[in-house]
Amino acid sequence: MDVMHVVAPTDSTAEHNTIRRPLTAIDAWELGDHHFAFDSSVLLPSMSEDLLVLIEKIRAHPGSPLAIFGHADPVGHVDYNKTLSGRRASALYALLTRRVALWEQLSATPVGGDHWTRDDMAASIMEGHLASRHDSASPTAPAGPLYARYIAALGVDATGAPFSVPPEAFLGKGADAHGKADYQGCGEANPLVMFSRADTLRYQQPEHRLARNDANALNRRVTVLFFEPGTVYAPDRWPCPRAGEGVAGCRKRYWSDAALRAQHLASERRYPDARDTFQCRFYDRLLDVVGTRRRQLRCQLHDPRLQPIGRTKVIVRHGDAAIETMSDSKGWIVVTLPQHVINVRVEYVAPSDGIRYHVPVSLPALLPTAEERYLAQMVGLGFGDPGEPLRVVILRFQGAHPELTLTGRLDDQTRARLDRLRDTALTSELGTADE
Amino acid sequence: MSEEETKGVPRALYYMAIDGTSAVDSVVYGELLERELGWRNLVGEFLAPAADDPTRLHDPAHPYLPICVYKAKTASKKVAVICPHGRESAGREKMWQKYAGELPSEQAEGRFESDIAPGLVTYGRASAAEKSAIYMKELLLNPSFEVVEENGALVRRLATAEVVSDDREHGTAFSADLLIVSSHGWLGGWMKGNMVGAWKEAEPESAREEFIPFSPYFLVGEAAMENVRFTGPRWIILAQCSTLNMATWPLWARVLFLSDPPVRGILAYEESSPSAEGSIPIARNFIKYCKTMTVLDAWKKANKRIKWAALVHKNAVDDRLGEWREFVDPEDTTTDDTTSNYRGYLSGLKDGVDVFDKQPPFELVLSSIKPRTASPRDADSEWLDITPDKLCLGRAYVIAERYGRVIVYAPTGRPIVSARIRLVHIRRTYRKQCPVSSIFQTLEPRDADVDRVRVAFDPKDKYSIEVESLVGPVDSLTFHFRAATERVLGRSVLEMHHSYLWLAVAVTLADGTTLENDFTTTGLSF
Repeated sequence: MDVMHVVAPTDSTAEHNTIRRPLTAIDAWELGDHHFAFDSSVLLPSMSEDLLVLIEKIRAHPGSPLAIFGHADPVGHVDYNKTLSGRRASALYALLTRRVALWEQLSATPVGGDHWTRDDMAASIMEGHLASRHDSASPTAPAGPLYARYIAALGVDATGAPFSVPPEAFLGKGADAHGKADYQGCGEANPLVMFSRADTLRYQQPEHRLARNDANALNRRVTVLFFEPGTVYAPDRWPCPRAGEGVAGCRKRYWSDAALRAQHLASERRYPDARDTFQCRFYDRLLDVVGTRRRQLRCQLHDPRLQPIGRTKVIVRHGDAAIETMSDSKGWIVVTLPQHVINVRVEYVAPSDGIRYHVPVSLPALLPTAEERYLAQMVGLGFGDPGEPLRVVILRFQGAHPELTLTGRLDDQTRARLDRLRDTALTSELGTADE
Repeated sequence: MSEEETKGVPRALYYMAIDGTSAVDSVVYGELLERELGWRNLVGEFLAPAADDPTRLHDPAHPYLPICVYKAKTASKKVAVICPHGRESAGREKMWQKYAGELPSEQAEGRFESDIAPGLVTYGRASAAEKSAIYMKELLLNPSFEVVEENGALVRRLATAEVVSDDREHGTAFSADLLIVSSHGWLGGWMKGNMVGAWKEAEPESAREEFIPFSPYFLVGEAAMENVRFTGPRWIILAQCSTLNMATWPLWARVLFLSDPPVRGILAYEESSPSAEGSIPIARNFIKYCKTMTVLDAWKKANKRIKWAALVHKNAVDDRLGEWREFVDPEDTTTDDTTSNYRGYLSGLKDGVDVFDKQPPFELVLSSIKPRTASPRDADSEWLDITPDKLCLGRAYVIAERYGRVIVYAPTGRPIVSARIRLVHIRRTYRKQCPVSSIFQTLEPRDADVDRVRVAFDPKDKYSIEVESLVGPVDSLTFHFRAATERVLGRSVLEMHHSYLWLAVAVTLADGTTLENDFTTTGLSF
């Protein structure tokens, strides 16, 4: 990504300017309201499936610091909404880091409807889930306090192995006792949907409250943002107030037109189509990077005989998303991808043999090291599968090029050959079979 | 090109061709796989040409092995084929002319004594061919190329079984996805190459005559009994006679059970396969049909009117060549008494049957008398048991006037009173079955059992033998047989190199119960 920096001379030679990289979120994960008990920060067992997606993302972004943001809908008092969203963020943070004490604290300090021990609400949810997983008489049932057992039961990956995130993996690195820069609540400041004026009036009718709550579900969520690997942010400079603090700290960061943004207008507004639903400038910019910035992938596709596949329908997949396009006469496709997408899978049917091919392609410029860029290039050229060791892919590449010495390393000769392959037609460059 | 640009090519797939006859069909397979589908020749890709001969590739680990580079007829392609008997199986490799071996012990005229056949000594090019044939047993199971460190440098070479399994973990071994073996084959599940012709210019003189290397390229019974496995190929084409048939399916299944990654299927022939030349249109059609049909159906259709055979994992029946890169390895490859994951197909059994590997309810031992022993009554007569790993040896052949022995053992604790032994030619449904009297001239109990056992041709069934205890229930019944004369055998339905007789046995227990078993891998070749 190209970033513009404005710099100016310092007053003296003893001083120097520092450039801090803008905070860039590269990916996001969201936990919906329906995974919390009603008006509560108690996490429901239904979140397990979504949690697996988060675990996958965490593993896919090694070294990316995380931060959790809770969100509420605008119904009710603004301070209460800030508090509840913060408590929900805290609950998720405690689950990921296995900080049972944080859950005990939430339980011991009820606020409004978020009363864990009222009617044994939390206990009955948790015990019900644990009972459904284990026969209580079974010696394999986890032992220990209820919250710890429930966290242990929820915090597992797809294989059933325990999964947790160390506090150091969060943006604030767990340095602040109350989670500054690690987890916070945005309250009702950053809704994804703002109702139209007409709907708002309609929802004020008692008979439409349920419909209002349903429509507001999008706004009640907890979001985990992933930042670029290596991002460091000192908690004391973090603009968001702590999860347990009031909205005053938030307001300092609001857009100057925040009051206008909070108004219900003639039409419904939805983020990201409408870019004016968030009142918080800081959060808006974070999401701006994740949600709206795009980059182009230009890729020349071939069949296994190294012939470019021209004028062919191509599907580019990343995650669950699929982009359909056509290659030009020389096999080139150009697709626009979200900023954070590095790896895609390109599918096409080669006209020469009628076979549907699935080719893994990485956007080389997004890969942090030259080694990874060369590996991605070799995988893209068919010499390996994603995830194969670098050495095996290099050897396969070197083996196919008799002029290269087998070293299993990215030596100068091999790099030069790969560099040349980027700029020349493959047909004449690869393979030993053609005379 | 900017750093944002990149190129995409589907993952490379490799094939390996081994040919013990004329390599014309292997070359066509290779040419079509490369030209039509973009496959790559594993050997041609990784091995360098020999310093003294650009038409041959050099494998530093197996310097005696001819790896011939052929020019395909219909395209500007070169296809490398491993030819254990030399180019066109003629045995006239330049490097073989004065082959003197690699070890000091071989320096005298390439003298080589294989531990597979103690006492058999070969010289010169016959040693090189023998070594090549012996190496095929490893290469067939591991059709791989590897990179290993030698004297501080990495060298590329064909795999050695022990190294591959270890080195694969370090990511330096690459296997052929498809293995093609073209050779001669026999019903006992073993394969060999052509007879190597005479060559007057060969040194030493003892290497000038024509010869057939003693060691088969592969013997499935041996592989099954040694618990070895395939490590690499997903599909295997055996362009050879007879090696895959109803009798050998369980043995193949035992090898496939251990294979990693799992072999998805074997395409082969139940009876005579086409000649090398005759295989060319089959290769062409097979690749053509594979574009629109499953691999199995393409094999069926390409071999119309030929007795083809196949052994295919249940999950691979719908495999298509175009989906090769997306194959998902089957999780279960078990074949035992009750579990069958592989299905056997024949030209006469197009829908296939589940293949089981059943433990026999009782034991049968078939033996042949040691050569140079005149009769079983000789004081020093010794017996050589015929087991699945010995089916390629002379002892497992019907040899005119040679004596043999059959022992039927009772199940543990359940004595038997009689046994009925049926001689089955190839399979029960094969149209040319052999009357026992056309194969054996005499049947008799051993001397000690003269008054205890009665053995005779079954008067009601000319294909069967009756054995009966004359002293009530016993733990075993033994009898000797003597093969018919050469003249009689010559008039029988047996066909040289294409016949195999196995024993179907029914025993009657003391309580009147009858137990039956087909001992398909206990048999005699012809």
